Amino acid sequence: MLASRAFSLIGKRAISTSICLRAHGHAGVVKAEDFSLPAYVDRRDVPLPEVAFVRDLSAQQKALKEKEKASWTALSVDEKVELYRIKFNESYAEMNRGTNEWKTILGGVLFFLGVTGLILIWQKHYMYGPIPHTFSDEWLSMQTKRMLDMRVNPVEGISSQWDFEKNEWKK
Amino acid sequence: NIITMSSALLPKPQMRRLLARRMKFHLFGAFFVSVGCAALYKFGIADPRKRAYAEFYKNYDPMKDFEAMRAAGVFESAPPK
Repeated sequence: MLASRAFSLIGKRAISTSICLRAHGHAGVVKAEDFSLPAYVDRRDVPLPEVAFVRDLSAQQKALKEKEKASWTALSVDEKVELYRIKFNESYAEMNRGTNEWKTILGGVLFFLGVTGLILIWQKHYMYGPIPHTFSDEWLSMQTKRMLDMRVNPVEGISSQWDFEKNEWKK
Repeated sequence: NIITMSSALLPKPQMRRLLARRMKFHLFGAFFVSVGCAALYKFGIADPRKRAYAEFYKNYDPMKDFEAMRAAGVFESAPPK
């Protein structure tokens, strides 16, 4: 049905194409958005960005750009700096400057470690039950005595630290 | 303004062989760090351990050791006398 309607339009020449173009403005071209155009960027690995930093020059800057076309020895130091600032936003030194971010990060890490510690203390006090009886001092001394009787790790380990003649730990 | 230009020229920075210089530095460094680590391990851990084992077994009497363990009562199949 749509195809037959189109045919009727062409057949009757009800709308001329030139009128259509004028109605839209520019031959159907869409305005280029900012994000689709080359952009300026301050990056260490991009020494010469695709566009200059300042896009719309003031009258004074335009005059300076005209002066740039002549001999550069005629430019004063301030004019050279102004030309630099037109082309670039931050110098490498400015771009690479350090921040105090590490203090924030370190502070945040230590703070949350502290919170974790408080949580663990609360858990030990209010949540966990008693530890096994095999951790009591009596049991541990019986355990150690049995390990020495069995001569556990006699070369470099626990039995090498015990004096079997004097029945005490080696000094 | 942060950017200032002095009338005297700055000395020309090193332009060439930057990677070569960095590589040479790091090759030497890597070599000495690895050799150092190996030497520290050998003289700090490996050799003392070998000496400890040699000392232990120099005058080791297994039967005496066994009798001592048996007297302490750790064996099920060999009760104390």
